Amino acid sequence: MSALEFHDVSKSYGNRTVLSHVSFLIDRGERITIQGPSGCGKTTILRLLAGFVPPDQGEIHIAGRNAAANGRILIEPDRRNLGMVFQDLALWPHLTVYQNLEFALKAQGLSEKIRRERITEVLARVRLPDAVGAYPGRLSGGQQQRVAIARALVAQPLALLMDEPLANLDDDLKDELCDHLLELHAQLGFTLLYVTHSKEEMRKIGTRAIRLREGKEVTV
Amino acid sequence: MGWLLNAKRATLIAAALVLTFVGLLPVFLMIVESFIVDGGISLTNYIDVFGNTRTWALFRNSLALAALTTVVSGTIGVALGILVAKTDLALRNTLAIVFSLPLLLPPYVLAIGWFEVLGRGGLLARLFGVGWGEVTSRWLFGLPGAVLVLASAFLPVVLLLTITYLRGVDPALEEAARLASPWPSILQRITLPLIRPGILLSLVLVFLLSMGEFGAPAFLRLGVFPVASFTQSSAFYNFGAATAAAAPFIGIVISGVLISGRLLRNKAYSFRWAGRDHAIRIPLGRRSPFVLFAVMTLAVLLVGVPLSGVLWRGASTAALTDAIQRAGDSAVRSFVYATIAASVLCILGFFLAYIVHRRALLAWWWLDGLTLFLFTLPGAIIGIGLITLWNRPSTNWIYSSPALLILGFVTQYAALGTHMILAGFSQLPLSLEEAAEIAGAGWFRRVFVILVPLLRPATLAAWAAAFIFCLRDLSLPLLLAPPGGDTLTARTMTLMANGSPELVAALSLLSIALVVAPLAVLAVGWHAWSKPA
Repeated sequence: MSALEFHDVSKSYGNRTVLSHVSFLIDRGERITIQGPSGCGKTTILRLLAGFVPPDQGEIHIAGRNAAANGRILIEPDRRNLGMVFQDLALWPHLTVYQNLEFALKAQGLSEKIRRERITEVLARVRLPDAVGAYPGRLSGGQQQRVAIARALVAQPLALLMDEPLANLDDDLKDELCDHLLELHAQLGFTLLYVTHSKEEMRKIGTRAIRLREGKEVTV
Repeated sequence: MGWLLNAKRATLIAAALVLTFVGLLPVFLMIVESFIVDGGISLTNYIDVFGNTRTWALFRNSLALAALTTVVSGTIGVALGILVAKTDLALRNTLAIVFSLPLLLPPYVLAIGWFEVLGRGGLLARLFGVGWGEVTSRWLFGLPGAVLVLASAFLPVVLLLTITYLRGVDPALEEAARLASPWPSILQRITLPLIRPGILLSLVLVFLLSMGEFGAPAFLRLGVFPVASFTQSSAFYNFGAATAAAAPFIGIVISGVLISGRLLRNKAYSFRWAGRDHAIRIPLGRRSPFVLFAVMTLAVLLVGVPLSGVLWRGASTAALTDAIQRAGDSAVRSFVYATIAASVLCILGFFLAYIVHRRALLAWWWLDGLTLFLFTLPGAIIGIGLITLWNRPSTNWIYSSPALLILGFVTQYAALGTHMILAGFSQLPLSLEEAAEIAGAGWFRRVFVILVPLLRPATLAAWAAAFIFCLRDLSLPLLLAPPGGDTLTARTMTLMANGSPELVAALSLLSIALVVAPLAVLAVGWHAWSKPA
């Protein structure tokens, strides 16, 4: 059974068609990059998978369950067991690092002890064990990036969706975080869907690539 | 180049000085003169005012009125703001406009409307008998009635600020939470904490505006603190005692401004204007019809009932003709004064907003706080300050002319022009002006060719808001309008004492028309003008 499936999915915003009859299957544990020029629908694929928008046509399956079909969302975003790292990270500025990570765990109804253990573990994995009490605004760009990854992973998602997460970082930091992401993937084995402009990131991170052309056609 | 740099600095300093001179100097002078009795320094005025038990009773009334009004309008306003800005409720934008209507009107018009419904001879008494009228009238003429009127009058402040701040929340922050949690938890832990500074600011504003409100409590015969100050100045011409009576207000307003400043400092977070189309909306699903019914019922209660009361009593040819005959000239003057003041406020507001946004003068934070301070200061205090400053033989030509009232409006409402244009500035990338500067454009060219055209929507909105507030103001015209030069609000207040209920209701309708008609023309004109070719 595939982790993520797109079956003949189309999506338009107003008169602008962003995706047209796109289909692909992604197996569990795969590292997939999505590549293409600006405005070709890369981010839309992630937003459709996350359940933020419904497809106009076609079906989206997550872990074998029909999550959205023909204009309707069948499984709400919080029931899809996905993690996402946004392009601008979207760390909640009024919550500490600990509280940012705890949000998803509280929603799962986990006890405080388990929550603390999970947060400590994932922060150790992203090499930020001492950042628990800090607010995101006090952290460096690289540290914020790690917090965003930790927040997406803390609930142990089926798949991690990443929307050009390294776009605003310098080359050295990009290399370091790419290596770190691969390490995390090797340790945790999640499915990774990674949107990027960069051919270098694509080569380094992806075992397979989805290339979008003119936002309408797809090659896998 | 040097001259141009000087021209920029000179213009901005002039704008800062105008606000300080027009706004702060009168208040400062008024306070100084309140300590001078018979040529010597004395605390007599303060001892007289604060030694009087009635002063404290009025102060307690004002505090209770302001606190209850803040709680009621805050609770309803925030809930409505969430429904309008965050859900897919049908007719949400229309309902937001309906709930905002009371902001266009002087609060006493709402009080008159409720009087026509709940008063002894009101609609309810006619429908259900005199006994009902007795009960509802007792309820209306007191604290509950005043809270009802002021809560519906100031609810739009909370509603509009909540909507504005909710639309400013970066949608990605909520989407990140959507992956982990359902909406109630997201609202509670992400969205509302993010906009908490905005909500608290709106509550502080409502509290201060309620504390300073004079017309509606006076009509409902609830003794409140501004009445003490107003009575001392207009009935006894004792400006020292009037200032002493105003002193606690000045303290409260300064506290309010400091609290607001603290609330908003370092709380800008990562706001990104999502706009109507990009905001994430919570689907109400099957609850939608019930929520819509509840909100519409509330709209009818808070807005429809008082306006219907005024319409029911005043919408007759005889009453309207009488109102126009007795107050038509005042209505025209109101329109002219408000038009002039709103235009001055936009010009001054542009330069003050520039100073605050670009931190162009060291005193930018002071000017920002000063506008808020003057906005929340009761009109009676500003009026007394202006009289103290300008009532001298050398400046009698200003004192005895409508210019004094215009100065009062500019003082009181500088915050509106400044902050609404400031919101426009914050949407413009700094690089737009920098690109013009590097292309060789001087200060005035940058202002008139780049900034003013780009800020047209914000400026127009600021003009409309300033126009409305000047038009609905009561305290300043009562104190500052020259003999024979009163405004519609002041004339209505005067005629309330001896005019028939039909005349008073018709005057209220005239007030409504005076605000709504120009705004409708402005809206239609703007719509036609901004439509793409």
